[in-house]
Amino acid sequence: MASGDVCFIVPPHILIQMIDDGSPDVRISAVRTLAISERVRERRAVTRRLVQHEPQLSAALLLPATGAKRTICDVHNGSQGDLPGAEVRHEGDPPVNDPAVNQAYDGSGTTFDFYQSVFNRNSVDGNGLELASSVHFETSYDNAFWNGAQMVYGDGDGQAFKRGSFTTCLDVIAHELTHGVTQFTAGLRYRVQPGALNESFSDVFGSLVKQHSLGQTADQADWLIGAGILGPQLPGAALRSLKAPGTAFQYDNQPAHMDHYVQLPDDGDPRHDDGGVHINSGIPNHAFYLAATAIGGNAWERAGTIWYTTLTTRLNENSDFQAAADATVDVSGKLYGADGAEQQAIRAAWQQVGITPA
Amino acid sequence: MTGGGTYAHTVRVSVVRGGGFSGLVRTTSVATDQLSPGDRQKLAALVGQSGLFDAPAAPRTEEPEPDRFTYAVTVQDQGRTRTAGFSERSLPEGVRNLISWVSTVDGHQESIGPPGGGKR
Repeated sequence: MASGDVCFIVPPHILIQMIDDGSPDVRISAVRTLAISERVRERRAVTRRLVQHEPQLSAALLLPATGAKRTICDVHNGSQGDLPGAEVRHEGDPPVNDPAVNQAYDGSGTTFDFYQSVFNRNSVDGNGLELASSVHFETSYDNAFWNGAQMVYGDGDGQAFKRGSFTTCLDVIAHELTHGVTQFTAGLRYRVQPGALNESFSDVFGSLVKQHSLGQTADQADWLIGAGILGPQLPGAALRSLKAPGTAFQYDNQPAHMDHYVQLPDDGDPRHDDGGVHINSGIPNHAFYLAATAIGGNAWERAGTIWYTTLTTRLNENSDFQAAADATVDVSGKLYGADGAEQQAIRAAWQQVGITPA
Repeated sequence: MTGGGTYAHTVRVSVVRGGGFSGLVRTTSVATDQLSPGDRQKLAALVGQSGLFDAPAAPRTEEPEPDRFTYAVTVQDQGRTRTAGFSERSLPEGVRNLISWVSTVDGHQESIGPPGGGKR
């Protein structure tokens, strides 16, 4: 241990102070002391603060583990400053008398198992990150998100989204946890095309986790995101469709081809969706669907492996659609043979959405 | 309007919320002439406590985060108009309280739609 490293037990509020005030070296020391912090809650508080300051550092510093390590917390309608809330179920605990808690536990476990068994990835960060989830965030809160360190679920307002529906929807849970995977790998910035790719990888792996859990082939899958969660304000079957972008519900305006790419300014206006990240994701989404169905069989096997390898080894924060197309074609050749059926399918899929891979 | 409020002018507040995992845009607005006298005073107090007129108008500037809500809050009061943008993570408490109240008060108006305007 280098001089300056902390080698005794330090209270978490001191660690947080070190992270807030310290140089990167001091921050690293603070995090290394996590290894001797017994309490899950303390480790998480410190980790969360570190991720805020040094998002690029945290992957290598978090603690390795074997198997999923889940903690579900009830934030009791509290807001950001109240996270994570009271711990109500730990790894291995029996179910509790709250469906949201049990669904968050099961969904994060299914997602963990998918990444572990299909891609040999040990949790969101690849290094055994504990999967913390907080349920009952704020009041009638119409969202679920990964906050950089943990999952957060609202209860829905019963109008736009059905009450209690977010934790029931495995592809939504896996979508959000995949934002964490992207954070720790390609780091695609959440703006314009890199942001739309970030969204698309979350939809792709969100759908694949669901397909894997149901044992569905590409032909059998519904390829929907958010099926069954929409309330009376949002008539339709689901939020998005990789099979048929633009058709999932009344306000689905996703394109499936570059000819219909929606140019929106990346100006911080909430109407502009950070340059259309939830809109134009339809284009790479559909490319994946076309590739996976052309290859056939289980989508997570070959198409999924190509997309996963691309996300985790080939892309960076500024990668655009063209870079993703080029990388998936190259990866498919390296994994399954140049000009093999997989590479041909992927090249054709991108061409069908208006992008010609190099 | 009936009601004979003590205000000679109308205060309007509109809140545009975008983002979240849906990306949908929800617009919520209130105007004092649609509120009960008690709620008019409450709105005036919340606008004051929000500090929106104490700082220059500014768009949201933080690096966007996946699937978080984003906000633009506009207040019109006696010919002054101020719009400020916020990420969910950085909402000041006063603005958070104003948004929360506007979203639930009797007489507010609400609409929801896709980002970027209408369906293609």
